[in-house]
Amino acid sequence: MRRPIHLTHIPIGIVLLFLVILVVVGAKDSPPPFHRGQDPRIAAFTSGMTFFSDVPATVPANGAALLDGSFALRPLTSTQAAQVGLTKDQAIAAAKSIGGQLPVAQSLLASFTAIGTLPFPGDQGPVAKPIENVPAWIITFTRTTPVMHVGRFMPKGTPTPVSSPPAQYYHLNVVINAETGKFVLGFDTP
Amino acid sequence: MKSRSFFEDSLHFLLEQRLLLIFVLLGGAFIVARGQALSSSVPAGVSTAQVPDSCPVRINFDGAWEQGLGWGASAIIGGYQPGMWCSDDSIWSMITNPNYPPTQAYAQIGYSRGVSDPYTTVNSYFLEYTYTTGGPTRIYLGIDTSNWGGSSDTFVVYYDSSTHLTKFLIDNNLQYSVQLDWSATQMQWFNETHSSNDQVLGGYNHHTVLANVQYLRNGAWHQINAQTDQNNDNPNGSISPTPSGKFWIWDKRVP
Repeated sequence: MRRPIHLTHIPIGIVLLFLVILVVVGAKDSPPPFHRGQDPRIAAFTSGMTFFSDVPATVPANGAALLDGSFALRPLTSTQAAQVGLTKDQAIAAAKSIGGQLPVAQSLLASFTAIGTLPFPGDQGPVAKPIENVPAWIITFTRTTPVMHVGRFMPKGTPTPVSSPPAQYYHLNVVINAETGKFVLGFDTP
Repeated sequence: MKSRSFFEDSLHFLLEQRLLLIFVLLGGAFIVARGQALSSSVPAGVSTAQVPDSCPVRINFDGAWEQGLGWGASAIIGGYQPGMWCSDDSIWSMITNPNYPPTQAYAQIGYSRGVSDPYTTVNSYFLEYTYTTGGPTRIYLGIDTSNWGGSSDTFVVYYDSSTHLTKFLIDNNLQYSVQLDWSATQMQWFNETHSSNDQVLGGYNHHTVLANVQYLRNGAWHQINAQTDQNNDNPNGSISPTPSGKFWIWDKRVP
């Protein structure tokens, strides 16, 4: 006969504390960021940053990496802050050139970098116009109807295309140069 | 006396210590918290069912494709403004690999119209890409001030083996590059609509032209045969393909 297990000497408080930690950590857990590799630009530029799938309300002191490291936000330096000549309202007005009449969800002032525009080490090919540490307003619009991004392909030997389930994106983020007021780029987030 | 299993022993212990109740409560709290975390990206009060009645979601494609391994896709796309739309509409050059569900792996560049709201119409240049397990990432590069009315640009996306970068170009100017974790097994050039009531680019008197449609294979660019590898599944769209890497598309409802 197996004897009942008696573990009454284990402090119940410790067990509960452990379980609470599991719940809190588990609930806030999100899929790990895709470091994509091997791209040395992402690894170098986002080192130590916190990864987000959406534009955060504030920029962490260590910086924010968005969309698997495609974009990076840093707090403005004092020099950059002095360059800002655009008010929030002016930035929103400029962003409406692409955001239209969509409601504005938030406005964030940050140093913005699009890592895919930076020079790649050793690349002898054409270079893009780099978007690096640009003082910028990131204006986030919320769509009432999400935009859908769909993959599709033609199966071999059949004439019927197959589409993947649409991914839905509610937020349109428009980056406006906070010094010049010019459109930098836009990107979608969930 | 019948011996109890380890499971029974454990359950008995948990009941004695009232830990089972605690587990159930904490488990419920976990599920609720997890659900809130996963749904936090959907704005409050927003439903996915807010598509206008006249715009039922239907994914359609009109264009051409090339099956088989390849490293790039290129086309000159001359647009003509659409006159109606519901959700969103785009036209692009693309490399893809369908072996990575659920989104499939793809990288495309072209024109985009609309931001999926009935009161906003924006025409822009865009690029979009996925990894095998993430994305898509869509980037709006700039406003197309011609509103697709007479615009003509060369859109190229290709894999550069020397750097393992997938590069996106407009009119031979590099816009963006990214290291993706897949290789292409298919190339495509399509007008994509998300509702049958979206307008396929062009009208029956003003076709949209896709010219010099080429794919990159074995280090050389080759023209497609749009006559054999075409697709037209928008009920309002039409296509006129040629065997020489050129085709026209248009919407049958508008001039």
